Amino acid sequence: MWNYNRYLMYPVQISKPNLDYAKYLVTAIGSYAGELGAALRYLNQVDTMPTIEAKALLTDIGTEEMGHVEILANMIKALTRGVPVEEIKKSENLANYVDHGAPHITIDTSGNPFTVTYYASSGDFITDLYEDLAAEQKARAMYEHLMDITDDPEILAPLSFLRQREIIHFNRFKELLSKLKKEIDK
Amino acid sequence: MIKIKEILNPINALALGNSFKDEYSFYKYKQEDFTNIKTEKENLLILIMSYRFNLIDMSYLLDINPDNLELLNHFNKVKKDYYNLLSYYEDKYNALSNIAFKDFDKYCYLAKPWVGDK
Repeated sequence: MWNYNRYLMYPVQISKPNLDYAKYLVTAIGSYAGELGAALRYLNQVDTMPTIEAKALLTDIGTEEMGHVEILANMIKALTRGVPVEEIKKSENLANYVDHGAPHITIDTSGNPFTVTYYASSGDFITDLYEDLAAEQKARAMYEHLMDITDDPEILAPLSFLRQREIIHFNRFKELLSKLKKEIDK
Repeated sequence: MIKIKEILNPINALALGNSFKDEYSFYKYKQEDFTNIKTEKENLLILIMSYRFNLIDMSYLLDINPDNLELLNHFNKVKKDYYNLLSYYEDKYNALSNIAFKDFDKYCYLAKPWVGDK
């Protein structure tokens, strides 16, 4: 089971709103490369992993991905908090405000809703771990694109953290896959 | 196998996004510390985040390498510091989970502000 801690995995210290950037940042949660899909992907694959080490790693990384969703949701909150309606009317985030009042986060930049078809659980650990490796690279590329379009250090700091986490997860999945393959070869 | 000397200190690890020196990959922006912290409460929370983060990162390696006793010993040391920080914070401010680490005379989980609120 999960327990909640009243602090973020990484501090969000965004001091000024940026409605237009918030519109693009939602993709890091709700797109095909987003954190929500990553969390559900790994947690859904746990039961068909062949060893307890693999089950533990997928559960633990899947749990961290939910923590990433929370970091991003707090970034979006900080980027949109306290903005007068007159400002919202001029921004790219107007449709989101009209539909939801507050930012709706489980969508991509075009407003497409998150879907479970973004990820798979095949029952074959080799297939699944290759999907997981690809997922980490998709997320890394997404964060680099999000970093490319801003020079605000308050936004770049958490994005840089999240990008680096994708690299670490990729490394751990790669080590796990290598270990499992060696065990099969025995 | 990761050697203990390659493990970064918790604050530096959190700022960079990884606990193991050789795994860092730079892209556009690098933060190595947290500088705009205004209060002791914020500073303590960053420390709690940092130690927790270090433990999470090490636990992944332990998931794959459960027999690495050198890493486990380091993990245990950081864990002790993490619980000391948690205990100090909860004594001074409020509970950080609904099942708090410390005993309280009153229910302290609902102290304001909530995560991310001002």
